[in-house]
Amino acid sequence: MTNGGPMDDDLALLDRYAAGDREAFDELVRKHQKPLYSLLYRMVSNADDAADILQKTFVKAFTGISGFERRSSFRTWLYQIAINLAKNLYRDRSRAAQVSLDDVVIRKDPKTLENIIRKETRERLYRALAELPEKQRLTVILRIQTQKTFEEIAGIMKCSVGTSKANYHHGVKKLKALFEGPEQGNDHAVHE
Amino acid sequence: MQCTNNDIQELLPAYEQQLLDRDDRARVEQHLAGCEDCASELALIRMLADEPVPDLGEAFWTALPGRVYREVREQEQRKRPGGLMDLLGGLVLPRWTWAAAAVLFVAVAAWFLVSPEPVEIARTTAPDSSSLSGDMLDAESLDMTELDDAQLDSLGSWAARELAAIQLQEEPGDLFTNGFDASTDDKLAEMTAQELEHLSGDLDEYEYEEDEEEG
Repeated sequence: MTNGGPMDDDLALLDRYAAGDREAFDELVRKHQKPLYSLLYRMVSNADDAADILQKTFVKAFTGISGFERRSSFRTWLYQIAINLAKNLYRDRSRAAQVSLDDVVIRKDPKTLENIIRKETRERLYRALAELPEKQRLTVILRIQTQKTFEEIAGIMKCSVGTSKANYHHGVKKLKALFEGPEQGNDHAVHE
Repeated sequence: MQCTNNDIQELLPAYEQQLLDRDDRARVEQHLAGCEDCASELALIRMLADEPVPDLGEAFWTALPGRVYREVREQEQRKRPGGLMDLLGGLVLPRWTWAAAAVLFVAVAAWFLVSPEPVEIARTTAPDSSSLSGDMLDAESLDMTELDDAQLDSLGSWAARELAAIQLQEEPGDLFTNGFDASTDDKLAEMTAQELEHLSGDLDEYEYEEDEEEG
């Protein structure tokens, strides 16, 4: 399973920053900016919004650094701030309305039917994801799209590991049901 | 069929990322071979994980730390205390203490502003003659505007007495008795006729000498 970046490295950089080391500040931002942006983009589905929230996340984190008690990792704390800021934006908008083909990297010729179908399938999936309850949606994003462990998810969402797993399972099941739609039928037999 | 094997389903994202060890990978693959539910779930996971994220460009990433740093500094500057009022505002005290302090401050300021300095005022009693000249030489000029009501009344009383004394001295008919006291008449009345004649003779000789000098 993947692990996050070393906690001690971030704390050492924070100590250096507190002592006036400007380079330590830049290093902390460079280290976390792209993973944070990926998460934010997947939450808000808009590159400009994600970039804007990304900057606000760092500003809020460093101006409020005295509130970081070091009980979690600095990365977890950054994720918490970023998620809260993204939630505020997401609540005002429907994720489905923000899905834009222009934001999707097209690897093949978009004029082929196959790619069109693929695009439509993706859009359907993203719309289904947008309809999930907030905690389930966030858990699915963190687990599948940012490769966080359930322990890390529990830290970010301030819940137990068991709760993070339950949110994941419920979220994926509902996602499948929404994606497949009523025409696919839901009368699956239970088996292991 | 809806699969309830949570253990396998929890491993699917890591399997998709190729992060499982050999044993876990084999276990998942064996399960996937016989579970359509988990197979379709894996397909969804791949689609989600594969969602491309548009790159913001190298210029953005290079500039971001500097932009963040500047904004952090600006916000810290805005938070800095602005002076005495901010300092006082930061002091958490009951309102009545501030009111009491303000009243005390005004009272002290008023006392210093209104309370008069001790000044030399005009004497209301006759000075000692031995020190009269000294007093007259050392007296300071008096600023009437600095006197309070009680002092003005006192001064007025003194002036009235002095004026009255002067008026008594200047009344007509009293010039001849200026410097004379009432006992002179009594003394004249007690003189014998011989003594009065003798005094009259002296007065005649005095007048004759004056006439000789004026002549």
